[in-house]
Amino acid sequence: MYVYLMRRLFTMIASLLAISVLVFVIIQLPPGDFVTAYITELESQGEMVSEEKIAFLRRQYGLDRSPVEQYVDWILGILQGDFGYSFEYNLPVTEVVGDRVLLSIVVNAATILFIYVVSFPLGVYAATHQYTWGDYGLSFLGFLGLATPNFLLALVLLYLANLWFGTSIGGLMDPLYIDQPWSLSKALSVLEHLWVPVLVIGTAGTAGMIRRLRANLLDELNKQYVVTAKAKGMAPRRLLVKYPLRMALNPFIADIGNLLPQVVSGAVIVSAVMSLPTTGPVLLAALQSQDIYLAGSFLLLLAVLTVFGMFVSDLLLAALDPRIRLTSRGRR
Amino acid sequence: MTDLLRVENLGVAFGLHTGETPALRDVSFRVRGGSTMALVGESGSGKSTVARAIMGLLPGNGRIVSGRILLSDTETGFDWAAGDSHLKHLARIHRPGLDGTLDLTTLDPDGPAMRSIRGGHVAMIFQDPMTSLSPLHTVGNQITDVLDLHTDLPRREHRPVISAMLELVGFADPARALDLYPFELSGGMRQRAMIAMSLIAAPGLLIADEPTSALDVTVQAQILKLIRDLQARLGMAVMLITHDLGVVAHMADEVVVLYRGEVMESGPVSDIYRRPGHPYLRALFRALPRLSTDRTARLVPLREVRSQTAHLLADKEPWPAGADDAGPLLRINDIHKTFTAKKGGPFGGPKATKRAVNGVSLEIRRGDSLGLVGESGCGKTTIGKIIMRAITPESGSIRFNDRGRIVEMLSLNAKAMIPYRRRIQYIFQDPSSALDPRMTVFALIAEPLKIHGIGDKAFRIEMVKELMTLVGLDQRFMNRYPHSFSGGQKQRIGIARALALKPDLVMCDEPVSALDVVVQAQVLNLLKDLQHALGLTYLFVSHNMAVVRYMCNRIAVMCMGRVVEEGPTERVFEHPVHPYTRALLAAVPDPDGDGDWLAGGGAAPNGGPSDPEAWPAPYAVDDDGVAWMRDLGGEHRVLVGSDAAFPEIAA
Repeated sequence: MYVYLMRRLFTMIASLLAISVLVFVIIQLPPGDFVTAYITELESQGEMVSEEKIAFLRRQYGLDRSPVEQYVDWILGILQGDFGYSFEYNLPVTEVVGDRVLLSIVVNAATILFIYVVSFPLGVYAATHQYTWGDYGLSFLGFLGLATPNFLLALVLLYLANLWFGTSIGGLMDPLYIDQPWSLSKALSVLEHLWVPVLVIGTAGTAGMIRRLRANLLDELNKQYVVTAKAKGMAPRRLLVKYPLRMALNPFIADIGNLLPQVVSGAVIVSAVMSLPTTGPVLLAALQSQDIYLAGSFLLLLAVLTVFGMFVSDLLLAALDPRIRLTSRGRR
Repeated sequence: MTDLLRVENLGVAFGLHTGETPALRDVSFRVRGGSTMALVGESGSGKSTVARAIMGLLPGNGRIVSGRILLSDTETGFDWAAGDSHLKHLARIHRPGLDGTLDLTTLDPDGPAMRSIRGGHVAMIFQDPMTSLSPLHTVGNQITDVLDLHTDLPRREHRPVISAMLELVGFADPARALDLYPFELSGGMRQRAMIAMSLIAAPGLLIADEPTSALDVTVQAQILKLIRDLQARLGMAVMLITHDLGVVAHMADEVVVLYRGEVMESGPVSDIYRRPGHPYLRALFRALPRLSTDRTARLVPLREVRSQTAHLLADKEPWPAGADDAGPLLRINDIHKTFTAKKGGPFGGPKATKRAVNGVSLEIRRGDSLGLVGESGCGKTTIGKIIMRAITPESGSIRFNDRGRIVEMLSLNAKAMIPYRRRIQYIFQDPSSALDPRMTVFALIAEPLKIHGIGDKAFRIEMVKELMTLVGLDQRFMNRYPHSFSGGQKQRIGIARALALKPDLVMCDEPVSALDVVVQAQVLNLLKDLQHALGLTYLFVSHNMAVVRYMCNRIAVMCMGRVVEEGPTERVFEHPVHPYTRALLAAVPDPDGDGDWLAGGGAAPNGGPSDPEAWPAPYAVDDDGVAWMRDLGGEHRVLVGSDAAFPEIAA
């Protein structure tokens, strides 16, 4: 087990390093850099920029050095907790991101929780009541959830929330609390606003998860070991929970790793539409203006989330499935 | 003895798209307490449906339409002698009884009354021990369920009881076995665990649905012996479902023969075997290859396939005179192949290796039929694949006699190999998965011709027609798809395909093991006829000793990647020398055998006859040890590991 854990941690760090290189390369790929973008913007406002100033800016931002040097600087900084400097905001990246990361995590965690809590019982119901009206109804709702564009759902729900509950449009809290220190009422306001984005972002994931769980469980229900358990005289419900459901959980857990990036990337557009103070919109802007350290740190953060999600799901799988746990120990 | 179970006029029907199809019609029989009843029939005859109906486990679209299933209460004699110190735990098992006689058809299949019968009064074990246990729960955990459901034994007393039961079914270290997962056990041990699970609540009736057909012959003997010993000890009745008439002869007191959902015949085994009354049963007996009857006597299938050769197939180039002097058709020499299990990662342990083929030498003369026998994992299929060049061995040579010219096949590259692929063809084990379901029979049979660019369209149609006649298929079926054929017909399509290129050598890899007895006889006869008509040479890979005896004039016995004995069929069967060969032969249940087949061997669950280190001198060979074939005269050779004298060889 320890060998497995060590190996897993090792590959995790290796893949994060590889991802950081990739992220950096991709950000550098478009022609020009932040200064070019900045100058274009200034020129479009009718300002003239001298060659010296451009060179000065380049030097100041460290853009005159080779990409390898820039990368090494950036990575070494991150290891010391310094994520670099955002050109756009003229602030350290950590300060720009600050609260947004926390709120992002709150929204995403709530969404994943929502997906699991809703899809699990519904998936089990659909599988155990195959080809009944309940099953058909759930399938229909599921397809509807998969097919509806998120931003449309977001607009509709925002309107309804405002109409019925008087919730303020957009954002994750009442405008009153923005930039205020955290308090109980601020947290409550967040909760009041949270359900709309969670519902919007989670719908597609929930629908997909219901379909997957239903298919997995149906497969398991026809397996021989289920007949064996029936032949023991087990009651249907207890049997379902102890044997096939336990097996059907495997893909459910393996999905955590897939779900995290899906939810996070899906959140970008929705966040933009709903003007949520999460990381999505900032990432979008940073990519557009080639604010390398800000964008890079963001992307790396997403990568960490994904890789970590995979790690957690692998550990859970190993805990749940003896075949994974014991064969990795190196039998024979 | 009283009737424990009485089935009266049972009818079961399955709902399909087209309406209800009857699966069982008017089935009646009885099982007496403490006795063994065998339910015999081919696949699709409704054997398993009977079992499922009794257990209340019919699939969703199945329904009992008529009849009664009457179960009476039984006292099973869990009488534990004081000597069995561990086993006395089993005496604590107490299961509530049954009030008088119950009609199981009147109970709700999922209701509490039926559930207490299922697993408590009537228990069941299944064919495939690989899939019938949950892979995620320990053996002990799965057995605990039964104690929970059917006894009032408190949880904390479960472990010693389960451990005693596991000891009883032959686990050497039952306390450890309790915490093992099924995938950590071999097939035979899983089936033992399954038996322990089914018997822990002391059922009056054990239904065993093909309990050994997924296991090797030597393991089959062990498991059947175990069931019979336990029956004597626990006093339960056994309903044994099987297609193997040999097993029935040695296990059962009474037999019920099922054919297409109807009972053809029933009665005591001895009567029925001596005087089979019904034509179906008589046909079944005549279709069975045996170990003790005349080897050359032709099997009689229910319906004989008439094979005809015509001009295209007949004009095969004759062998030039003297070509056979150059050597046998195929000679493989000292082949070694090791498989390595991948262990990834920078911290992975040492690589696990397995010697699949360990210095095998064989020769197949033209016109011969060489039988390669052994249990699963012995390397016989690997040999076949090596000859086909699907696997490359580490060392050794394969020399093919191409009409007088000897060709070293292992030195040929993929392109140079192509002409020789035409000379060697393959017939596969599972006819269903060997045929592409999206291709018509014509496309399937003509494909080899197409690949090798032989003939034009008209020629191919003519050839396919001829091949279909050859294997006894109606030419009009040419445009049908494989799914509309039965297993035997599919295998004949596979045979036609293998013969399309007019090969010299045909490798048959367990060609009949997926087929029923009656169909098996048909296909075996066809293969024999074709060998004579077309001058074929066979390498016949099989685990079935009786089939090999019927088909082959020479046989080679393999065990753990080595050939342990080879020689002419008569000699090897009549004077087997190697302990493994003897164990294999002893493990085959012969329907004619009068002696107690299960009396010898069988008990050892570990090691046993297939462990080379457990063989007595001079046969003992350790894994890396040197071993050679010692000539016994008359082309009969046996593997030895030392020069020590043979112990006396039973004549």
